[in-house]
Amino acid sequence: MSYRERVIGREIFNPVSSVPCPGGMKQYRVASTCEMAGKTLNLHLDGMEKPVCVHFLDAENLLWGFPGQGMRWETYEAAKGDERLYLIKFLLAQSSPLTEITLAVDEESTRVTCVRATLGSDRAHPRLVESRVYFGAFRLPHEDVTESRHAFTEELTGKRIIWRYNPNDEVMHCFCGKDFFRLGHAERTLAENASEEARARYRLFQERKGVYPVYEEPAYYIRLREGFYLYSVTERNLNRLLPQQGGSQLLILLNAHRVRYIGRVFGYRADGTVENDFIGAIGKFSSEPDEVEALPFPVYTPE
Amino acid sequence: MPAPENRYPNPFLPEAPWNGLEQFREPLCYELAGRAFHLVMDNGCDYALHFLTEEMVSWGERGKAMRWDTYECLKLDDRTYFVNWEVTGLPLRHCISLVLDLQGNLVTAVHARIGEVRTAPYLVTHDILFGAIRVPGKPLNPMRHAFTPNLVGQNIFWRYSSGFGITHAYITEHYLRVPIGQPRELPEGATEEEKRERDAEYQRRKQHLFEIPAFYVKIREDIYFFGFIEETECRQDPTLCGNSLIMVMDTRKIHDIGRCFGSDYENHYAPQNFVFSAFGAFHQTPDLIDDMPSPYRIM
Repeated sequence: MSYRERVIGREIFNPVSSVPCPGGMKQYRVASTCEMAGKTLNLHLDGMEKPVCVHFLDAENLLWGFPGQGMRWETYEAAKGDERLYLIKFLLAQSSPLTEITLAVDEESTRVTCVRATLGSDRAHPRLVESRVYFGAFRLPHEDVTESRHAFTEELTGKRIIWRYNPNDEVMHCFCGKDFFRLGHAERTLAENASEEARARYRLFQERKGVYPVYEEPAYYIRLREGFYLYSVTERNLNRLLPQQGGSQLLILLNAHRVRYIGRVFGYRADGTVENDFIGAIGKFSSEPDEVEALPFPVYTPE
Repeated sequence: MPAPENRYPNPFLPEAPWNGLEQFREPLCYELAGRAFHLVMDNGCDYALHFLTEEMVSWGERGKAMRWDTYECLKLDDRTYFVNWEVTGLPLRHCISLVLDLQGNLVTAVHARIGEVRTAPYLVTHDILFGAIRVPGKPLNPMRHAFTPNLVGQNIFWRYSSGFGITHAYITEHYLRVPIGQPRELPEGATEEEKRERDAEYQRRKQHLFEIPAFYVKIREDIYFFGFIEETECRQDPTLCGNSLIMVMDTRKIHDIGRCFGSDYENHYAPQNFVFSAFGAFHQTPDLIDDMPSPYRIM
């Protein structure tokens, strides 16, 4: 198996389990963590006038609010990227447009990156996720807030990783430039016994071929700590060219030392439901360039 | 087992500080810090287990002094934890590993030792002990995790790192084999020399059946605990180590977490005790080992 040959709709062989494997990008995601339960973060984010208090009531519920105001209750999920490094996500209930907050919290350095993502804020592109990054830190009692911040980085530029999501699927992430990203080229075929859902997905890939031959999307890369990065890929080009497809944002907390990641995907699924799930993968760096890396940038003319 | 090596150079980490089995390990789990458990084991003893911090555990038998050790914990799912520590201060090396099943309030313990077999000083021996977790206000669960044949006949290829993976063939309820027909993966663009080395290693494996005693325990639906000791080789050549590997597996996600306890015969028998994770794939590839008689045991 290679990332260059992907079979859509092939079931994961599992002769033991009573229910099907999760499959897709969730097969190898690891268990969520409860370690934030009971903790409180006094967040100071650049570009926000007031600090934000986030209090994790338990493993699923949190309260957040600004000083002197009522606290709002949300449900959250947290995953652990490394010792004392967490990825936390929650939807703002009753928000319009639908708003998702993802926090990358480094308890060692106290640095925090907040990604505020909205779905449906651009009426012309209702599937498109728009995101804004806030750097900051949380305040420890009796201490000043650190001036140090996570920051955008070019350290990943020129690297590529082959990610394995499940026993059947690999993809190559090519970090071609500091603000864009490509997937390695893959030929797709349809599994003989593919489900109707998989066949529909395959048809979408086929429809793309003419107008969107290369997966090239805007991205940003943030350095969290040595060997750890947060990168974002938003399917803006795909959505602009094919308004019924793409638009989702993939946010990945990369452990470049162990070559594994936890991440979250936010956007609309093909069936129109909202996806806001953790995903995970294991991988390997590749020293062999993919053919898409030789293409001039940009493949798609900006709007 | 052949020593794994990382064949996919990492530009961010030219020399990994960990064993090749450890690369894909998830971050250690600190959720048990501050929690205490009352374990009622089937050897007739009750034990207290108090996770003092993210690293320190205090434990002991009822009516006796508590002692503390340094532990590591990995989390398989929301209700299943794997805890491992080496008992300090004893003349022989002892390792305690627990599967804490907070869904069934059950526990399975493995007590492993090194140095009990005079003729094979690095061979690990172990006992498996079942029990239950006493929960205040609830009757003790009378059920137990139990030995199972459910995995017999299955093969799983486990990936431990970017460059190392191995198939476990669960051939009987008591033995595990490593198939011969799995040449080591090579990176794209591997050199001719690397290919020759791979082929030579493959030839060596063809001439040597790797079969070791193993155990298989069912924790709950889709969750299994299994392990083995590299005993066969060690009994033939006591300068080898006979290490013990045990793992808790989620067959639905084909993911496991576990630990290796033993010694490193390639490094002056340095003590080894580390936790790891692996991600796998079931497969049905026929192999020479499927019908091979065992040269090590009466069949």
